[in-house]
Amino acid sequence: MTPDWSLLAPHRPVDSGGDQYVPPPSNIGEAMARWALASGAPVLVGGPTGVGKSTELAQAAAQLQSDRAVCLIQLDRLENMRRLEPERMLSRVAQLVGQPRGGAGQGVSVSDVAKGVAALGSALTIASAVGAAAHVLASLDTQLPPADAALSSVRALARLTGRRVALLIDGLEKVPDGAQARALFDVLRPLAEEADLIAVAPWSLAFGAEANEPLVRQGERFFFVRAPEVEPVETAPGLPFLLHLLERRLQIGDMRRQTPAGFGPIFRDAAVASGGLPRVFLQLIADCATYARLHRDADWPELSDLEDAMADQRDGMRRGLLPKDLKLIQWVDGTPGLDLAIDAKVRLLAHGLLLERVTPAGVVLRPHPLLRPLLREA
Amino acid sequence: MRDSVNAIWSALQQPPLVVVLYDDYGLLESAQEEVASIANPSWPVRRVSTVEDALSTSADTLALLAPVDEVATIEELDGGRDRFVERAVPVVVFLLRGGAGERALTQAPSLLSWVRGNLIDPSAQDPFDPDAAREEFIRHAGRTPEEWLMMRRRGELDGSPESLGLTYRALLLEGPDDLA
Repeated sequence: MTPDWSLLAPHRPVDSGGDQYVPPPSNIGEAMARWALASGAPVLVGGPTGVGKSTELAQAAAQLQSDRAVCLIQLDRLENMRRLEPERMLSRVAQLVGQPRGGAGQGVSVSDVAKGVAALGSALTIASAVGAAAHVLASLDTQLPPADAALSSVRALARLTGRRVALLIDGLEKVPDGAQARALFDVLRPLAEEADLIAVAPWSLAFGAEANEPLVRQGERFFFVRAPEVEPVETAPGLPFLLHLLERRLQIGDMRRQTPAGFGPIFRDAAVASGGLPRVFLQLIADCATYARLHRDADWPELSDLEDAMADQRDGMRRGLLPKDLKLIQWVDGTPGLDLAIDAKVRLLAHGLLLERVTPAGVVLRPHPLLRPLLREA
Repeated sequence: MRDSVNAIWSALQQPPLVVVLYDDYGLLESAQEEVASIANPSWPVRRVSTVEDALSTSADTLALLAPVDEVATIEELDGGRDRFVERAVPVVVFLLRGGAGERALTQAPSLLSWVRGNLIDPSAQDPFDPDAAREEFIRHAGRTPEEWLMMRRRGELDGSPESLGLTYRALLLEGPDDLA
């Protein structure tokens, strides 16, 4: 068989409710949904780039679908998050809560509202629900200030569906550090009183100097998405997860039976080299498959192709390093990193250059496996 | 064998974003041409200078983005990389090697995590090793560059494209006159 490697699409998170979703060992998406349902308190989520935050957020949205009027707002597909102002964000929230689906999975559609109402056995007919949902749109035409428009849209949606609204906001980890990020979360506070709020949070606010202050309000819960363990390969939970991920993306039922014998070591080496980060893993497999085609016009990669793909990833990783980073990484390797300056720690964790690993002695920091040759050189 | 041509070809198969470094402004044009020549010939090609222009190209167009303001471009791509998630053909961003844009990448974790495997630095990937190049030539041609050129001067070679290509490589690899 010849796999269609382009299906790997390493940059694409799995859509909400998509059949490509594979629960990670931590099952964070489900845990976030359970917490939101049980407590009604804001939920924040963070983790290194490429660990699957957006995918887990989409999974939480799918989990909430039966109990809440769910609005998954992928702001980063619409806005330059570096320049996002609070009013602009609120306008987007107002627009997407009230607007029919725009094609990228944002917002809740009029038909979703109607289905939700019908499923609840409300006295409203589907037709009237559609008509009522249009009122959400109409309320946006009243020139309300963005904060009021967002609040009004959320309340209207709750009224029309007879359900509490769950607002899931993706992309906020990309806003710059400091005051701008804080301002964006400040304006979400009134919405968090009306709806279940689940948002991806910037590292600087979650772990930085102001980490002790609530981001939205007291009672909020922060979920940290960790890369699953991939070593030792015999027992690490990350390997079955990544194998399953590969099967789902490539639409292959059983990789162990349907792949050439030589692919096993490539899968294992790529899994270990990825540090358990799904995007890095998928990128390594996609790249080595491309090299196989380029070098030998072959359908399946060899270990030398994976070595080339790893070299590409390592070169890219090197670009994220500042001059003293390798020494810092060596210094904190195997420790909780309590002595590491907070800005360096936040940056190295956010880039995935340092990974948190859970050991019997507690959580320790370890360098990303692809950095090991660079650390030996250093 | 991992060289910049292979790396560019491989990166172009992995949308949505690719970064190619170039050495000086005089080489920017040829860097763009090289990428376009390696790309799938069926892809339409558009040269753009801003992120907004790149966004306005269709998802199946190869957009060659040579930014006027590299830092602003990196920041904008870092903050809005997901706007490119639907692209079937990548946007290739050209940055001056060692310049402000490349430095800005270290402060752009979201963008960097997307382009890690798609960041091409031809000068680092194609270090010229004359000894290895001579060995490769001898392995391929069956004689040294000097012997090859001698045959050429004696009119013993045909005019095939391969022969002309080897002659060109031999001229680049030819030793000092006293060895020839």
